[in-house]
Amino acid sequence: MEPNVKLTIDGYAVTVPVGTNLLEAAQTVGVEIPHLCYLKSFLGIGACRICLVEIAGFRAPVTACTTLVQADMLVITDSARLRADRKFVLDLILSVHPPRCGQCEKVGVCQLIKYASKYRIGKSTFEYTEIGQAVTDPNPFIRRDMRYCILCGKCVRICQGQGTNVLAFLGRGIKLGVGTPAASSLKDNGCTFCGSCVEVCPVSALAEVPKLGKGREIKYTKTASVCMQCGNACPTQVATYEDELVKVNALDNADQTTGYLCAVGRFGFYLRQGEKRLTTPLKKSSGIWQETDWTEALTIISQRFKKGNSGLIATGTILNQEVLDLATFAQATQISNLAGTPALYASNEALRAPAAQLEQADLIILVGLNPSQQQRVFPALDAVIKSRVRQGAKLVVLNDVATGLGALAEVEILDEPVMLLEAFGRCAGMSIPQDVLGATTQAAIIAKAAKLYQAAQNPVLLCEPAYYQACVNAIGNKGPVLVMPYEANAKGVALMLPAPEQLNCRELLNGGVDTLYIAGEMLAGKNVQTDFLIVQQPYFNGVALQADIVLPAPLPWEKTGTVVDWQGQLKNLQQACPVPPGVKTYRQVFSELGQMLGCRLEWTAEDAVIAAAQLRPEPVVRELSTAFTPALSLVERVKLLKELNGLVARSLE
Amino acid sequence: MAKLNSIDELKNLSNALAGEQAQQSGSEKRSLWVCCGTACRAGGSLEVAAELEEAAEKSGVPTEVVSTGCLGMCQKGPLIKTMPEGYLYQKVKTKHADKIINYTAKAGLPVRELFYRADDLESYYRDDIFSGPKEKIADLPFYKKQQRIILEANERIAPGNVHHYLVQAGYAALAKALATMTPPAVITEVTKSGLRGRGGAGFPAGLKWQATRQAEGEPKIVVANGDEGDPGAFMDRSIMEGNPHSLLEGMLIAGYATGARYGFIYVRHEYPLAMQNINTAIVQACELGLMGTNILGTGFDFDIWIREGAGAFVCGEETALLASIEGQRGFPNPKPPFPAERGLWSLPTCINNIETLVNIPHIIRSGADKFSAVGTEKSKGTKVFALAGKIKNTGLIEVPMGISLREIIYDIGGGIKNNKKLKAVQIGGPSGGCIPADLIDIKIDFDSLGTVGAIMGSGGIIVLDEDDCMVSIAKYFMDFIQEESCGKCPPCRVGSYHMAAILTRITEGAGLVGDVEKLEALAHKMQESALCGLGKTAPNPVLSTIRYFREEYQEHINQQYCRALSCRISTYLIDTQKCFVCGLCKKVCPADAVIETSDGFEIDQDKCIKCKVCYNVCPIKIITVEPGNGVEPSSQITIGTKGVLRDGA
Repeated sequence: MEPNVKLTIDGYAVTVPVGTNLLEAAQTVGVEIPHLCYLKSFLGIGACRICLVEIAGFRAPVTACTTLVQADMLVITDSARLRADRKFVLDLILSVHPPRCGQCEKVGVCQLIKYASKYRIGKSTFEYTEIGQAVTDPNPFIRRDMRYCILCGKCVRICQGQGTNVLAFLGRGIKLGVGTPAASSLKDNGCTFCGSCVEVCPVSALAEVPKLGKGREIKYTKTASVCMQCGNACPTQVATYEDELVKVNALDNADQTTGYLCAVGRFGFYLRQGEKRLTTPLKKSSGIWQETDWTEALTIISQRFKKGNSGLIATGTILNQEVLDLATFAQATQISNLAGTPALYASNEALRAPAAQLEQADLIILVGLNPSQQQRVFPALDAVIKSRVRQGAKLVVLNDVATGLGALAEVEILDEPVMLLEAFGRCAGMSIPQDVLGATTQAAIIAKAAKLYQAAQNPVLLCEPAYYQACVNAIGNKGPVLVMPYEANAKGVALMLPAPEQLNCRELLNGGVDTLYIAGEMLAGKNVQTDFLIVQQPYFNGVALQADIVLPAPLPWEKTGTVVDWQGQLKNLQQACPVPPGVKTYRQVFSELGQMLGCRLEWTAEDAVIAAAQLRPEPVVRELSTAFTPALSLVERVKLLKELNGLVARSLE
Repeated sequence: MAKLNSIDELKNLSNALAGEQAQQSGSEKRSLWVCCGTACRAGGSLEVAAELEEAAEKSGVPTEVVSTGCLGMCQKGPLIKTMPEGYLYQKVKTKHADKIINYTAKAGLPVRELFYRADDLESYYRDDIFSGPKEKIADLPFYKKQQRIILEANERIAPGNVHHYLVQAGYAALAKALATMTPPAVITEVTKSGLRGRGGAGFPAGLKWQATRQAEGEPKIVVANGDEGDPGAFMDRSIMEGNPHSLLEGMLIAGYATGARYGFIYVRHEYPLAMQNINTAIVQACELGLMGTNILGTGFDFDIWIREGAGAFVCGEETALLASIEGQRGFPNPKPPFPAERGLWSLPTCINNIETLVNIPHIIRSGADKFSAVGTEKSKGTKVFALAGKIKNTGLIEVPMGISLREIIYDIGGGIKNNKKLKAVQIGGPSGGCIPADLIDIKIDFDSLGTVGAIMGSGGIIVLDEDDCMVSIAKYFMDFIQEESCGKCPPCRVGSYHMAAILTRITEGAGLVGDVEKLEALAHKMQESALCGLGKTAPNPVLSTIRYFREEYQEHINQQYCRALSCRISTYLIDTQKCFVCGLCKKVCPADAVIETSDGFEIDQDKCIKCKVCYNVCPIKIITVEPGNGVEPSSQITIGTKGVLRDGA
């Protein structure tokens, strides 16, 4: 632990770690120093001049965001002089900011208004001059209007910090602006449309296109949820306005892993509005899709189930409670073939491994994974790792192909990962002679990585599921091994489901049963070979097209429950929108089917999820020959993630 | 060039070269030292040098033609100094080449028509008529009051020739420091010399070095700030162009003293010749083993690189400069932390101005006492200034600290051009201020200039005469700041914009009552809240002109009158009583505002664009300029934090 420093801020005694800045130090005792340009987890830049504070012994006020605490500092955050300074700066900013708050949707959450009203500035005392202009860059995601920009630079820093480097400061003096070279479009500059820039914009210079014209943000109802689009399962905040979903943003919560959301997570709800949402069951008769009602659909299904030789599959896109409901249903109806799709790419052991926190890692060893924001392969993971490295964590990359993160890595070794891990494991347990470290042979580079591992306090191994056992074998017990699943609740499904009694998921999909029911969207667009296929999912696409009966299902923000994310942490979803008419939840479907089959269903209690989520066996070192071989090839696995990429790309055209 | 492996080898080489030169000066062969600084090059000195070589070859006279750095008297360029006689020829053209070879190179005779003579009749009759033209540098009034410690070597050095520098005791200071002094002793010597930063703020160099030495972090870095952006300033350019090795030597000593391993020279993009010459010098120094690893066999390692600026004024601010070297946008960062603690790539960095660094070899070689013998109590040594504006002799001068402004203007500069009246002196560039004519007896040093609202700055002196409008001067600098502000902080970005807007409306005759007070209030608040030195000092030109010339502002605002007749306000009238109807004014008027009536000529005030052409052309000077532009001053006003209403409105 870093030693603490004691100081006084506005009369409060404050004790904070060395290296804390005054702004954050003040926050620990509830003193809010006004600020516009400070960006959490980034170094302060002292640009906005509003966080000026006075320090005893200093001639002039200093910016709180750039001043680090020192022992016995005496800080005053509010005085007549500071108020005058802040008022002056705000007055200047307002003199070039459009005085059109009446039609601005940011009112209520706008930082500039907040301080303007705090310092009681109505209209700027200077003559208003319109500086900059609305940017013409048609795209369905981000609207830029430089007239509103206050040049705090948060968007530029966050864009650079996460490695996308699209936005930059351009020009000088009053003509300074934020933009792209020669006013080219964001798309042409390699923007991934993650919207992080919009997230941090304190005013309405940047805004999400989907929410334009949908009321003021202050009127939105905000609910915590989780993005279910990929294995990252990013925590989100879902905003609704009059029961309509209008905005999704990253959950601002200090102890959550990420403040990053990719374009799919942020704008996915909007993109998928174009797809066919199911609100009534569909059945296929002689190759033609027909709408049907629930009674008919469920009757057909129950008749199929009565015939026996049926199977149930839980995909990694449904919530823990729904998995348990499915298990209850299976038990009551004595359908013994119950499996989860995560088993297609990861061993049960890997998915049930103990939880870990990447946030605390000082060394990240990335095995066989190539996260990339541009390629939309675990973009959030890419952003988190970059953010960790910026904050001082070290990165080691073991992969057989060059990775995008390789440039940031302390050590990048490119070869067959299992072989590398064996060599790494041997080194990690040894004392490494100094003279080896300077050499450039592969053995020396592996030794260098092992040296970093030995020195690390909190190393975390993050691997592609296929390398789980090799990773466990390599490092034994120092530091957790996390597998990166491809579905949001893959780990939840593995933890909630009992071990498969008869057929596994792969066998079920390959025609092991006559009747197969799939709950949730199956990301793998596999050809399902079964006599009769029932799919329940929100949209009419993917595997549903091969089905005989398709049942509508609620979307993630229409339900309440939990998931277990890639780090093994339990995350909550709250219902934000009502379930649309015609859509039934999984539990409703099971209970009606149960009645038709003449079974009594006893739903598991709420705490069953927590109990099940805690059953984490310790990793065991095993012979690699018994290792898990995934049913899907790596290419197929990564392809799953890129499917949504197509959605983003199409909408940009 | 062979690598020098020890300090003795360096001494032997320098002695051998000096002997060679002494021998040569005894011989018949004469040398012509042609100033090839940027100003003389623009005047054609490269062509002159080429012509001289050709002429020498043609006539068979053994002559050495050497291209040197800037000799200072740029107004009279191209300049040539002949050796061993020491004649100074000015305004040399290619047509003079044959004569110079035939007279001077062959026989040691002077070419008299090229000697310096006063330009105007008055000084000619006063000074030159009895004494004749000035033959040698030391005779010229321009050089007489100067004390050239740094610049003098320019006369004796071809920038591309390291041997010339070695003959001038070059690298002797480095050798002395490495051989006989510990790094703390070097710092003590620099501290004792009282050398203060020549970049403008005057921070003691020794303290900065000490702070860098004591800072934690390896490797340490020395940065030379050659981003000389003040309008009209070119001191550092002439040093970098003319004597690049002295800069390298200064940096090497700084590196040795502060414990640094690497050095960077940040040169502005507009100085290609400086970059070229420094590059050559770096290659030579590396070849000689004066740079790199194990310098002169002492185990001291130091490497220097050049970094080219991209044309931003703000990059002269040290934190912005460091950001620029790192490849970031040139945004300043708040201090503390100071670069000495956390500079380039967060490493301890000692950043000094070019002129500060070239003073170092002199201090180490001759001792702190000799250096501090020159100057005032708190400002030691000499200072280089770029003299510009309405003055007879413009150019580069080096004067002892404590010299009066009057001496600079009248003795060195030769007084005001066209015998106009001195109005003020702008010193210190966009961060400096205007000193009015009645204060020109002020001593030039860091502290006295501060008391009158100016700063030493990097060394630009602009002389203003009665034709210069002080409001326009303030506007010029504020426009400059507005253009060059990096825009990071609102006080500088928006504050300077509003100040420039107010100044613009004043110079356009649309000033409002209370504008001056509004400017003052804005200026003080900008000084308080801006992020970097540039923003904090940007209002200085406005504040100092208001301080000394408030009535000029008031005239602009209240009477629409600019006493310098430089702003396009006021009313131009023809005195029909005295007019002898020559019609010249009508002929030249670009706006067709002069109307011919039965009584003579009249100016149509609606058409008049106040361009002053008729006023200048009138042979009997009967066109008068009256206050007021025919429009009543505006009475609808919103001002500052509190409205001020015009009396009687």
